[in-house]
Amino acid sequence: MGRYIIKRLLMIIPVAIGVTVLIFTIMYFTPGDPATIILGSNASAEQLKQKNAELGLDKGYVQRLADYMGNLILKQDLGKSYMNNRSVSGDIMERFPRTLTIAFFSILIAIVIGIPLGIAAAVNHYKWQDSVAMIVALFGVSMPGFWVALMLVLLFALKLALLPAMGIGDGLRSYILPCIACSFGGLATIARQTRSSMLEVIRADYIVTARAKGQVERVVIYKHALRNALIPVVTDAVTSFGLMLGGALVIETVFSIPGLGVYMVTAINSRDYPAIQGAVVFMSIVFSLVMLLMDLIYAFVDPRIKSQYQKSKRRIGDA
Amino acid sequence: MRNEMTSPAGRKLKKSSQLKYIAGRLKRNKLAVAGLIIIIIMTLVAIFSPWLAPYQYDKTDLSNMFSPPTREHPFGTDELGRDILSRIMYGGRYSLRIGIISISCAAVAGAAIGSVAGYFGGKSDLLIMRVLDIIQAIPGLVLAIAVSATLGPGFTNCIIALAIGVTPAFARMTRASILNIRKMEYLEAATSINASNFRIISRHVLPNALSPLIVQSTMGIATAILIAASLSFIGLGVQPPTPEWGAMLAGGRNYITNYPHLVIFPGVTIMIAVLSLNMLGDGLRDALDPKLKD
Amino acid sequence: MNEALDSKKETRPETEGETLLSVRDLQVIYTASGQVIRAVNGVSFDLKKGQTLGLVGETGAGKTTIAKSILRILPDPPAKIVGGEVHFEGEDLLKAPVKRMGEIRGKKISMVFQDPMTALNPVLTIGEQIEEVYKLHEKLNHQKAAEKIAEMLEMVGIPSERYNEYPHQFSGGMKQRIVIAMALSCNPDLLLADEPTTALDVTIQAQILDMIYRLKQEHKMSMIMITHDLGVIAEVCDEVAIVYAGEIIEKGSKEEIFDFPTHPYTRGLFNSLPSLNSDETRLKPIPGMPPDASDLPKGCHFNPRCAYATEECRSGRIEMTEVRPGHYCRCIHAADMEAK
Repeated sequence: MGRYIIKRLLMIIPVAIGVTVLIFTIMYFTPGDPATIILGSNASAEQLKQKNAELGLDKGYVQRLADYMGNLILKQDLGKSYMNNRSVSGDIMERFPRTLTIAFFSILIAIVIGIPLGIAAAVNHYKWQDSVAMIVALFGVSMPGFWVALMLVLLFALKLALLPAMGIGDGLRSYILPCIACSFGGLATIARQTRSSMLEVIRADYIVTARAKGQVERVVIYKHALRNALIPVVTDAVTSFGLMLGGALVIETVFSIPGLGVYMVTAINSRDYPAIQGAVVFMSIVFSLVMLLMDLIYAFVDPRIKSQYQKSKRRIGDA
Repeated sequence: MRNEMTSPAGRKLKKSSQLKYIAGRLKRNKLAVAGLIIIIIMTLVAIFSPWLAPYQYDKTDLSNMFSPPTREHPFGTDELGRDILSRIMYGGRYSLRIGIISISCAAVAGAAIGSVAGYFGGKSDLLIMRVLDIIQAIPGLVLAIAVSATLGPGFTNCIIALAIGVTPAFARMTRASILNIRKMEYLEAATSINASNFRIISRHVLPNALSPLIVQSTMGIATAILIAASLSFIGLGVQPPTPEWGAMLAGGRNYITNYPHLVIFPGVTIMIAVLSLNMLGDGLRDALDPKLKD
Repeated sequence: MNEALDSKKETRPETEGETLLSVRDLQVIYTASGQVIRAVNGVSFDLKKGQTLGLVGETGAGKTTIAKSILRILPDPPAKIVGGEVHFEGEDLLKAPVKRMGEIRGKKISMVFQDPMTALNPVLTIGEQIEEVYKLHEKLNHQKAAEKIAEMLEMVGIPSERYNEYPHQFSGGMKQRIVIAMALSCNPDLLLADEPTTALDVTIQAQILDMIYRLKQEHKMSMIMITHDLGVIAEVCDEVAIVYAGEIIEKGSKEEIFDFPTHPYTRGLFNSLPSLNSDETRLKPIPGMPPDASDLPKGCHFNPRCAYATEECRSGRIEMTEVRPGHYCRCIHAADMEAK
């Protein structure tokens, strides 16, 4: 198992390099002169030229890419912000935990509510509980997260005054509404997937075997069916987590939570390219790590996959 | 490529009976039919909005700002006294078009890339798949943000940003279908009569990979509308005063405390559009899935 | 060969000849997209202790449904038992509370399924899956259960050290052995074997069948063997019931049925078998297709395919008649069939 984890970790490296090259290239073609952005349009041609040289922007594409990659790999340095000359990686590390907090609690809510909802729907197939749960889930996947956030603010912060509408001044309470808003889409997706894979698994022969053994229905559902049904749900949960990391970026802006999303929007509005680029590269690496996590969970829950990576003495054949 | 797929008469015949069968199964799914009807109505309203809308979408009325829903303005008016209902009707032209065009582009590009990868295999497959890996390593919304930041805001750029993000998913799916189909015997038959690669891909392989593509496209349009709204909301997609639904939400959010109708109605509209597409997509998936017989 | 089971074997009183299971007028329907499919239409039979009853019929005739009805493990919906009684040791299982059924399943009545590839839970080790039976019915702790499981595995020819392996690590034949070990672990009174060899390689079929028969004899169980293979019947059964379109159309002792097949369908079954000692060079298939269970033919369900069908066969329900002592047949022309 250890070897498998290391192998998968190593496989992230080329992807991360590829992502960095891709993002760098996209940003390279951005129109506009950074020196002008920094110094303003009143600066003289001489000043601009000097600034560009200072930033290393007078060099060619390959040289600049090599510098960027070198700094990233050797010093975990994503460059300096055009706006305030602060280290981009430092700013990201300061803000990312807030984004991660939202995404983490959101996926937690989504799993804790979504899976039981999906099971309830599947177990009550053809009954009203199923229809209600699935219509609710269908609404869940169809609402923009940031709009849900706005509606929650309207109801719980502005009308009922129960929870803060913005900022992170109230500690964890500040995160309640953002997390609920961010969890909606994933919750619905997980509920839908749990239901459909439960329905498929419940019809499986081994479920009949379990019943034929005299196993009580509750154990049949939760031990025999659920463990199999959850395997495809892993994909959805992890994908949802990735989407929530993205969604959290937008939802932050609704609540003015100073996370990576607000950072990116500010950077985009002030054309602070090193900051944008750094944030995108960082998010992509995080996303790759999340995908690695998915593979590891798979290997953990599905013995058929696990055994591929174990040096087990596989003996096949009949006595 | 599209035309290639439907041109031979024999194919068309076979397809039509298959389509009839699928349509029959789809018709029994009430939610899917409802979704289809709603989305058709929304599209028609968007197309004919200049004639249907009670007001011009950009007609300001400073004497009647922030009007709550009334008989004259069923959805109220916004901060410049513009009629929100009319703006939503016009806005469909942007929101729905962004979804449909970006997904069509992505589907065509993805199908082409995926076919090449799946059909030829080997090194070209490896190269394509690694590039797709890289694009997919960037979360969809983040990639859309990066591309929009580079290209700048706007309608066309928004479409490009979305299309780039979803192309890999289509390519992967097409490749997977094709890898399945490649094993089938009728391809050997086609190869044995010396059909060209292009002919084999376009006439034999693609049509069979089509049904998952259709389902994915329907769902994809729904997702694209959501992402486009998010982009507009953070100021990267379509810009106000264009009445795109996400942009309307962005414009209205500052007034949410006192005039919530500015954000409620555009949001509900997005939800209904996405909901209908999802219901249709679910129905299509079930109708096209041979495993679900009843 | 096996102490645990040997000791139990001795405690079971010698009660051969007593009726263990009595099924009366069993009726099962399936509902699918508004259509009602009549899968089992008034099936009745008795099974004596220690005996093996063979249920023979084509795919879709309702054999598996009958067996699953006895254990009440049909998927509901779409399946529903709409009538009849299943008396097991004097108790009507169809009226038993759910909890009571849980005590019977796996303990008193066990089942072996057709497809071993899908009958085992892929995410649990085979040990865990067998252990469940012991924990449920004999309240054994982990240690005790593990010893028993090892014995059971060895008994069906699986090395006991493979206890902790997952189903995908075994071949089809081995999986079926595991399923059998699981079914026999509580030494049930009745084993329902649903085509236990159909999904296996021909070379393994005989091994598994021999093993089932041997274990059945050793443990003095009763058994219902479901099959479409008359060869299997010849090998293991005492009594035979021929099932067609959800009805038993002929039943009797194995010797009776093999020596004096009466119903035209039964005769068709025998004629479609290759025979090594006859001069016939061609097999005679039964013409036509099995009937559509949602739209059964009136009268005798076999009449559209029957060469001897007359007007009478196309109306009214055909009753079972005793054609020879202990040999029943659901055919109006049964009496004159022998001449034909």
